[in-house]
Amino acid sequence: MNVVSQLVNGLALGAGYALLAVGWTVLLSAARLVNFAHGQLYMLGAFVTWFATTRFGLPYLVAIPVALVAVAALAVVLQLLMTRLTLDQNIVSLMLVTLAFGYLLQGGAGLIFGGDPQIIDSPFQRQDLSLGGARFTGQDVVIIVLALVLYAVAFYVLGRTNVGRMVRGVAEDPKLAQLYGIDAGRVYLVVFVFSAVCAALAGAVVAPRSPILTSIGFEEVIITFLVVVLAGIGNLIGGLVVGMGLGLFTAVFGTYFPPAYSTAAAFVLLLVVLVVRPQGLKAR
Amino acid sequence: MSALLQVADLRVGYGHSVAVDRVDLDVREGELVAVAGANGAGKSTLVNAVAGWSRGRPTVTGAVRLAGRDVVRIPAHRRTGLGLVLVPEGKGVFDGMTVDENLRLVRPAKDAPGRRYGIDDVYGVFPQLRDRATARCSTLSGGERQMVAIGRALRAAPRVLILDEPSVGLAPRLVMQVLEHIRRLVDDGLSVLLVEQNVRAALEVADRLYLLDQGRVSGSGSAAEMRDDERVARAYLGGLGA
Repeated sequence: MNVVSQLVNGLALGAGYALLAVGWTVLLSAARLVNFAHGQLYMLGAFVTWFATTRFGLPYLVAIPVALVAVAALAVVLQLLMTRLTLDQNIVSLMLVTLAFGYLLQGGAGLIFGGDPQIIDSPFQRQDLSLGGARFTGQDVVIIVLALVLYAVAFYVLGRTNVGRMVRGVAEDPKLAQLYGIDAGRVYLVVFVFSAVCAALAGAVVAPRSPILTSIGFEEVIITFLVVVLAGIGNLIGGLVVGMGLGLFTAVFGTYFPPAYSTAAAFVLLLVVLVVRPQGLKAR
Repeated sequence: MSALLQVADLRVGYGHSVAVDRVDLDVREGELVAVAGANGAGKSTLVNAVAGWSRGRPTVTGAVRLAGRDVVRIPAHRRTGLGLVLVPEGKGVFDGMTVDENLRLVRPAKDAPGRRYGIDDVYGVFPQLRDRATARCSTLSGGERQMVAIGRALRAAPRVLILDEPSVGLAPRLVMQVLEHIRRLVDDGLSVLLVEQNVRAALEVADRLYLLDQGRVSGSGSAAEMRDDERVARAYLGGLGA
C-alpha cells in the first residue's frame, strides 16, 4: 500500500473514531455521563444493519435508518432507567450502570445474532476508487464525508440554535436551567439518544470495512474515550481533529510496527499530551 | 383584591431541621411584596420553595397557589412555564453564554398567561444591556449580571416575579437603581415577591413587607406601617425614628 493509500485509510479510520466520538463528546459535556455501553451501541448499529440486509433483504441504505431507529428506541429505554441518576449527577453509579448495560447488550446480541463473524454487504465497499495512485473504496469516502457533515451539523446546532443553547445551559448548570423553563431530564434524554444514534451510525458505516462480531465495541469505546479526552471535554472540533489525527497515527504506525501495538502507542500519545496539556486540545 | 400568589401553611425542612415553619403569605396583582429578616431566617429557603427550586432536597408541605391553582407538587421548570419565575440569589445566569443567548434561551409557551417581554422589551427596561448583547456573562459586572438575570426572568412571561436578594454584592448606588427598575415593572402591572436584606431600601419600593424570624413570619403590614413599626426601626433601620 503506498503512502497516499495509507493516508486515505488513516483518514477513514479516523473519521470512524470521530463519528463515534461526536455523540460522546456532547453527552459528556452536557450530562457528565461516561457511557461505557457506547461501544455496544456501535456494535448494535452494525448488527441490526447486517440483520436487516440479510434477514429482511433490505438494501444497505434502507437498513441503516432501521438500525438507527432500533438503537434510538433502546437508548430511550436506557436513559429513562438512568434519569434519576443523571439528574442527581451520580457519576460513579452511572459509569457502573452503563458498564452493566454494555455487558447486557453484548450478551443479548450474542443470543440474537449468534457468535459467528458476519459481513455487511455494502455497495460502497465493493466500489474501488483510485486517486493519484491511491486505492480506496467508496465506503472510505462515505465515512469521511459523513463525519464531516455530522460534525458540521452538531457544531451548528450546538452553537446557533435554541436546542443547542438548552444543551449548553444544562451542561453548565442543570439546576439553573430549570429556572429558564428547561426540563433538564428531557435534555439529557435527547442528548443520550443523539449520542446512541451517532454510535449506531458509526457502526453501520464503519463495520462493512471488516467482519463483525458481537464482541466488538470495547476496543472502540476505549479509543473513543481517548479521542474525547485528548480533544478536551466538550470540544467538538477537537474531537474531529483528534479522531482524524489518531486514525492517521494508527495507519502510519501500522505501516512500520505490528498493528497489535497501535492502541498502546495511542495511549502513550495520550499520556504525553495530558502531561503537557492537562485540558487536552481545548483552549483554557 | 384577591391574591395572585398565595402561600399557605408552608413548611420546608432538611432532614430533622425545619427551615421554614407554617408560613402564610400572599401577593396581589400589581403588588411588590418584600420579605426581610436576618441572615439564616429562612428567606431564601422560603422563596425557593415557592418556586419549587432548590440545590438540595428539601421536604416541602403546605400550599403554593398561583391564580388559585396549587402548584406545590409541580417541578420548577413547569412553574416557570406557568409564570412563577425565580431569580435566585447569586448565580442567576449562564456565564458561558452571551447576554443575548441568555435572553433568547427563554421561550414562553404560546398559551403562557403572563405578560410577554420580547428581547427588545428587555433592552428597553435595561438599555445598558443592549451594548453588551454579545458579551459573555462571565465578563459582566455584578449589576449587569443581575439585569440579565431579571431580563431572562421577564422573557419567561412572569405572572409573579420572585427576586432573591437582587442587591447582594452591588454598590449602594446600584442597589437603588436595580430596585427602582423593579418598582417600574410593578407600576407596569407585574407582581413581585422580593427578598431583600437591605430593609431600608426594600421599604422604599415595596407595597407591603413580611418579616421572617427563624423560619416564621414575625410581622407583616404595609410599607408605611412597617416603617413606623418600633421593632422594624430598632432591628433593621438603625434605631427609632429612622
